[in-house]
Amino acid sequence: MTPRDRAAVRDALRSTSPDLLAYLERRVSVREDAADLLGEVLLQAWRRHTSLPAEPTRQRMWLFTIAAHVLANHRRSIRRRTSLAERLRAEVATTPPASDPAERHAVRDAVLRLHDAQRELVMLIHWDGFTIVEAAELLGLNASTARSRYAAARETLKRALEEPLRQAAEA
Amino acid sequence: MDLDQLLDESAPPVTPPTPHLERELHALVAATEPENRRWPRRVTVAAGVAAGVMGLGAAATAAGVLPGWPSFSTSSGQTCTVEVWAEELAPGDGEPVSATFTEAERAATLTAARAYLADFDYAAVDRAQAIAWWQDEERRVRAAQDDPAERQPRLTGDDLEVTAVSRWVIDRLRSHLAGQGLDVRAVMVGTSTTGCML
Repeated sequence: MTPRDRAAVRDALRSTSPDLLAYLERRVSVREDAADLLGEVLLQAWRRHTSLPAEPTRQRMWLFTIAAHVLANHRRSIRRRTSLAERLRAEVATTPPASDPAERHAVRDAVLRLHDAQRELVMLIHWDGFTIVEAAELLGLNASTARSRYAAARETLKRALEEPLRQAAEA
Repeated sequence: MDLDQLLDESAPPVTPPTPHLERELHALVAATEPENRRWPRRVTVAAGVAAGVMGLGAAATAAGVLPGWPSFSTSSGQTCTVEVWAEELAPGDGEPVSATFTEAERAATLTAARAYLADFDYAAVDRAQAIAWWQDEERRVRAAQDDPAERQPRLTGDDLEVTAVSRWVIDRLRSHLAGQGLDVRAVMVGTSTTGCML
């Protein structure tokens, strides 16, 4: 790997790692596990560095695709803990998460009750900030399928959240 | 408040971004860089032969990376994609080397290495022989490491298998180049694997 290649990978990882950590934290049952998974994502990114796209948005998509695969593997098996991630694991474990007002719980519960195929789409768009086209790519869907699924998910959520939405409007 | 806003704000809380977290993330990025991982450096057998270590190299279809081993099934049943590749030696790559090489020597070595690897018959490698050869080398390296606490761990299982075979390929490459009056240290040679956990 040339020094220039190395710098390109390093820059992409540094700029995306906070979002990758957040993405992983939101999808694991033990929050600290996100640190180990991030370590694995970074290792895989270095391993595959020749595939790193040149354009920053594509780099981000590429890294999230790796993260999605790592997460899928994590769900299939118990992860080995990597010593590389130990310090970050401790950081995640000892830092309290940002505040979590109770009113958000009802919305989150409704999202989590969605059908699998709709839930991840909504999470990618609203929790991780992807566009619907980007979310479709990460999920291996074509854009029109993603749009119809997303529309169906919104209808389900609207029905489930009728009361919270009414209260919010009154407030 | 509309549905979009409610959904946007429903994300579970995560570790807040702080300067300390940023430092830890940068440290993790640095710690995962191939050249910073510990044992690849220690087992490197020659300058210019980079971390020829399975699982730590590049996954490779980009220009300059040779097609290698499209599919490798380990004894435990994992299937990996394994490749051995040669690239130009860039400043800072590989181990420190006392010999210097002219541009013409580097170019000739790279051409020869790529040609050899492109035609290499991976299926002909005797896996047991490669493992025995690797373990001899591993013993020699470990014996030279005086402090038991710092001694590199013995490889086992799939890690041993893919490492041994890939190092065997690199060793054959070294011999082939030497037969042509070329020195493998004039190029960057490494191995990669994807698709399996080592």
